[in-house]
Amino acid sequence: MKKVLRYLIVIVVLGGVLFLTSRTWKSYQTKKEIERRVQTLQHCSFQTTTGKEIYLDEFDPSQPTIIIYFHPECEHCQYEAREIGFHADELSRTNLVMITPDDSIQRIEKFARVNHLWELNNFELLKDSKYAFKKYFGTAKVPSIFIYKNHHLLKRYSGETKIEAILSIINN
Amino acid sequence: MFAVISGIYLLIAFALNYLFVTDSLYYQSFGQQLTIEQINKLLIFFKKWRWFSYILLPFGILPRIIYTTVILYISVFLSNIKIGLRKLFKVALLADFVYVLAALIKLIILIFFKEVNTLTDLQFQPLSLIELLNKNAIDPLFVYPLSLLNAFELLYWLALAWLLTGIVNQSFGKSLKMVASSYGAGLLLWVLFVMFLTVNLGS
Repeated sequence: MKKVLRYLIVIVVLGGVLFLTSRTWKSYQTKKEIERRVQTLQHCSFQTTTGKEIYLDEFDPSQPTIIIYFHPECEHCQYEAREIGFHADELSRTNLVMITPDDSIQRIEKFARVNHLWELNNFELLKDSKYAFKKYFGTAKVPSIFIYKNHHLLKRYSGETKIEAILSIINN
Repeated sequence: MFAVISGIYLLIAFALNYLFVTDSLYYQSFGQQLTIEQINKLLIFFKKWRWFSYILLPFGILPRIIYTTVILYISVFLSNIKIGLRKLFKVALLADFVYVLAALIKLIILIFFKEVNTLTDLQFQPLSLIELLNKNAIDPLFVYPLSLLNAFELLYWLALAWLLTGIVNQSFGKSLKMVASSYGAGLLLWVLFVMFLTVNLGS
């Protein structure tokens, strides 16, 4: 009986080691591939609140493109949006793209309105209704910020970020 | 004995917080990404809940001791050695003093030999392989396994084997083999599980 149990434990441990190693390695390779791809702004599209398809790499590449993944009910995202609204002038020469997985158009539009985001020159509010952001950018954490210029990644931030940090990147 | 271990850990945690976790440490750690107001909010939050981390501390130690006890029990059971769970629990408790020693040495090194500028500096693992490498160049996936490769982990294995020899009628070598095949296998699974979580949950 104990011999059977011993073999069983060995099989479980080996099985566990093999399973965890293969899954971890597979996920690691995928993550590395996304990290490599994220260095260049990809040809991926998200929908506006009116259903129009917008491709991220079609914005004017000569000025910085700031992509912010957010959720209207996230407190840190509200802070981020408020700061962007306050600094609309300084962000006038950027493409500001805010993408959300939230499916409530009413809530998304209210979020943009109360934070004065429509006052920005080049502002796009997009929906990630197919939850594709993680596939392209490797994260679904809100807020996540990616800053590109000439389709090359300048900087990425995870979590609440002060506007001065964003401005210092786009001004350099 | 568990109370003694918990008490020492609490004292060390309190000393670390008192000596190093100052307001300026937070400003230096988060200053590049957050504003002063945001950091102030964080500070209020951390200060408000610091007492809770002290309460949680013993509950962080207990699972480790129970885990070692159970793993050793399975090993001696399969080896047809008759030892009660209580004796093995005592072995795991005594061996845990190695980690207490590690925490004490870390505190001493931080006080006398290391400069603490950010919260990352507090995460250093004394006498570990990771301290010999450039941490910034290490992929987050390998941080935990590399930090586990340290002198105290080795000492913990030796302590477990030595304490087992005291209650089991077998040589130190055999006890060490028993520790390696039971605790070692469990540790390997745990490390792989942590790595799995790191790669799948980390942003």
